[in-house]
Parts: sequence; C-alpha cells; structure tokens
Amino acid sequence: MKPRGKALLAGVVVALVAVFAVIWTTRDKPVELTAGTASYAVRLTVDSPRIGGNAVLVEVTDLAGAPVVADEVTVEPVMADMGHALTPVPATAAAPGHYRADPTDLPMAGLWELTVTVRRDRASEHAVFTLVI
Amino acid sequence: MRLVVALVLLLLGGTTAAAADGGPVGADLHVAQTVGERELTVVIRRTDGAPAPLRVDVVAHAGDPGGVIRVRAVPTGARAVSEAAVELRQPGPVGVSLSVDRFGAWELELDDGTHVARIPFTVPERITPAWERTAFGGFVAAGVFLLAALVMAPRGGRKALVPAAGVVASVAVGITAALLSATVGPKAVVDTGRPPVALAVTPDSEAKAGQGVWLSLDWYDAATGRPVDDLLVHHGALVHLAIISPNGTPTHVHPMRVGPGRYRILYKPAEPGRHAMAAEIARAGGGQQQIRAEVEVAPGTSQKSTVDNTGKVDTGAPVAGRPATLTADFGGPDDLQPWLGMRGHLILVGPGETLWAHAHALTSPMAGGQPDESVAAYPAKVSFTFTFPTPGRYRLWFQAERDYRILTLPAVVDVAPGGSPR
Repeated sequence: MKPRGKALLAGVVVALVAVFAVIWTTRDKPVELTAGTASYAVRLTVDSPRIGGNAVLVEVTDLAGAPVVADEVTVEPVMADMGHALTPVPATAAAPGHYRADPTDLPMAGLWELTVTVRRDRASEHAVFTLVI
Repeated sequence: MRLVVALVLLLLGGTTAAAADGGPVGADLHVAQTVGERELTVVIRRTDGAPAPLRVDVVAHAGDPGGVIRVRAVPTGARAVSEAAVELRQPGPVGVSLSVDRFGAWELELDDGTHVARIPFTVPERITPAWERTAFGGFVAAGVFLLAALVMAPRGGRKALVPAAGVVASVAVGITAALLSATVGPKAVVDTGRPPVALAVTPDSEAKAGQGVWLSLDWYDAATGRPVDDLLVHHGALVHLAIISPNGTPTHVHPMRVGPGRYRILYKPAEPGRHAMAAEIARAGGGQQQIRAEVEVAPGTSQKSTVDNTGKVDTGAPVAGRPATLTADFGGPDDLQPWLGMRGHLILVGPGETLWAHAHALTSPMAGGQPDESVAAYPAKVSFTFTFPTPGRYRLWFQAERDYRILTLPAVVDVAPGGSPR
C-alpha cells in the first residue's frame, strides 16, 4: 500500500472511532415534562432517566409564570402497571420555585407515574407526570 | 467516492419533514357528559398541528333545558387560551370554534354557570420517524445524483461514474429504509395492565325520592389508594353509569369529570329504596371493567317514573348457555341515530342482580372515525346477540336514539335452563 493509501485508511479509522466515541458518550437528552394543577404550572426535568437513583428537578410557578415558594414539595413515584407505590421523596429548595428530589429511586424499567405534590398554606395540589424508563 | 458519501450524508441529514407529511393526526373525540340536567355529547374534532383552530360540537338531547354553556380550552398548568359560548335552544348539535396554541395535554371545560365539567384531550404532535426521513432523503439524493449524472455524461470521462454510483447508493438507502419501516415499530411502552379500581359513591345530602341529589363518584386505585385519573374514553364516554331503581326504571348517564379521579352526577330518584348501579370504565392499559355500587333513597314525594313504551321487543324463548337473539323494534321509519357511537344499547340485569351486562349493536365502520349523531339513517329494528349464562328472570332495557331523544324499551325475559353452562 502506498503511503497515501495508508494515511487515508488511518484517517477513516480515526473518523469511525471518533463517531462511535461521540455516540457512546452522548447521554440521552434530559426529559422535560410539564403538567399543571388548579393554581400551579409544574415542570419536571430528569437528566437521562435510568433504573436506580435519579435526580428529579421540579420547577413550580403560578399560572402567570412567577416562581412559587412552597412549604413542601414531594415527588411520589408509582409503578402504574404494577400498582406499586413508593415512599414520597421530599424535594429540597435549590432556588425560589426550583426544587430537587435527589435521589428518587426508580427500581425497575417501565412506565412510572411521578406525582408532584405542592403544599402551600395547608393546601396540597398534585401534578402527575408519566415517565418511561 | 468520498464526495458521494458526503453528499448522501448531507442530503439525509439535511432533510426535514416534507410539507406533505403534516397530515392530521388522531381522530375526533366523542365524549358524553351529563352536565346537571343536560345530557350532552361533546365532539372535539381532531386538530391539525398547533397553533390551530379547534372545532367543538356540543350536541344537546331532547329534554335538556336551554341555556348557555361556556366552553373553554385549557392547557394543563396554564390559564384558558380560548373561550366560546354555546347557546342551546333545541336538541341537536351546536358548533363553536376555539383555538389551541401548543401540543400536549389539554382540558375542555364545559361551564353551565354552576358546574364545570373537564374533559381531558390531547393535541398530538406528529413526529417523523427516522426511517421516513431516511427513505425520503434517499430518494431525494437519488434524484439529485441522477441530474448530476445526466449533466456529466455527455462530457464523457469516468467522472460521470461518481454521480451514477451515488444514484445506486441513494436508491439502495431509500429502498432499504422503506422496506425496513414495517419492522420498526413506534417507540411504545407495553402497558400490561393496571390494578382494579375502587369506587366510592357519596351523595351530597340524603337522597330522597322525587328530589334531585348530586352524587360524587370517586375512583381510587385498588393497589395504591391514589385517585384514578387515567380513564379512557370508551364507547363515547369516560364513565357509563347505569342506575336501576327498585321498580326497574333505568337511568343511563355519563357522570361529568370535575377533577382528577372525581366525577359528579345529578340523580333524580323517582321512588325510595335501594338504587343499584353499575359503572363501566376503561383504564389506560387496563381494559374495561365494571364496578357495582348502590345508593339508598329515603321516602319523599314519589313520582311515577316514565319509560317510553312505544315499540316491540322480541326475545324468542332464550335458553341458558345458548346465544339468544334479542330484537327491539322501536317502530316508525328507519331513522335511528347512533348514540355513543352505537346503533343500540342493551342493559341486562338478572337473576336477582348476579349478572349485569351491557351489549351493543355496532354501527358500520366509517372512514375517519365513527358516525356522529347527525347520521339519522339506522333501521328501527335493532338486534343483539347475548348468551344468558344462567336460567332465571332477567330485566332488559333496549336503548336507541331518534330526533336526539333517547328511547328506552323495557322487557322481562325468563330464561329456561339449558344444558351444561359454558
């Protein structure tokens, strides 16, 4: 093989390895879901949902879009098909209206229902999200 | 050749969904809702993208009081984006135009001034699958290469082979993607089933004969105790509720959804006693199920219940365990309308209350969904096939619709013992 051919071959191999490396290391896009209750809009973000501990970010605003400071925000995972409910995970406030439930343990693959409960002034409202793992 | 590959990749990657792909997704949603004293059918027409107009037809039935219903389209977690008033003067459909501005979950609110029914619906987003992009891209690339080959061919030389090879490669990519498309299913989750539901029926106040009483129907997941809000529209309603009074007067209504897992219905019992009810629902992934309940009615001002008796019922001599043909002849011309997407409904209760069933007479399937109630062209004779599992006395109620009026034909059948039950 001529040196030029060798260089070409090497170039192709390097390019292929690079492509595979990019595909391999690219994580799933974070899942962003929105739902609402009577008085809040809730956005839920899970960075690459997987079996095991997940960091669930919850953003609570009122219907006009202003952040809501709640007394308590919890995330309750339920395996809908199995009818299996897990202990609610309390979310800690990261910023006004921003909450983080970490880790939220989702022990198996399938269809999960995550209910975000926003408690404020002794009234609770629930927003239900569907998440596939 | 590298140039060819690069061009193919460029064309494949750069192809976006063609305008012709943007066809309508989904189907019309027909939902019956009993809002107060009105038995309404709401037809939410399918939307074509978002933002888009949303056409909603509200069908009133005979006996519904007139008045204005405010209809609102509300996206989840936001305020209503559009509102219109429906003026109900006479039985029949009234159409209004709303608008939707985003994809996803929505609720359609029906507000009669005192009560608000909330019907969940979805504005679906059309997603172009990868195979479709690849197939289209392949064929577009093939066309471009073909043009290039045609231009270069008369000039001679071996350079024309490059675009020619590109044509072959692109066609191969396009055909492979198109052929493999059948094996690439949509990304779906196997919904294997859901736990059963529990139903709690609570009257707002003591139910008394002759007085309307609001009943709350709360659905709970039998495994987690959480409210059930994944009910699907099946047979044209979220919840079908049949109530049979002690003397056999049937009520077939469709409780309105007022919130997650909570439905309400205004019930007017004509006489005191135990009013038995059966609710039919379908959970997402859980199939249909029937839940029995009852409400005790205290004595009050008893009224004579009215049931339309114009018509004939032919049941033959049914034998337990064998399929029986039950025919209701509602008389008059062949102008029955489909109600809840069916030509006819048959509710059967017997012996005692051991079996509670609900049979349908189907309409002929139609392109683009079920025929709506404006199609008044079905025969006045409606037949059902039903296998009575055990001998004994059964009570039957046949229901159909004409001139937006729900007709009910009652019958009593004694089923003879047959061979071994199936």
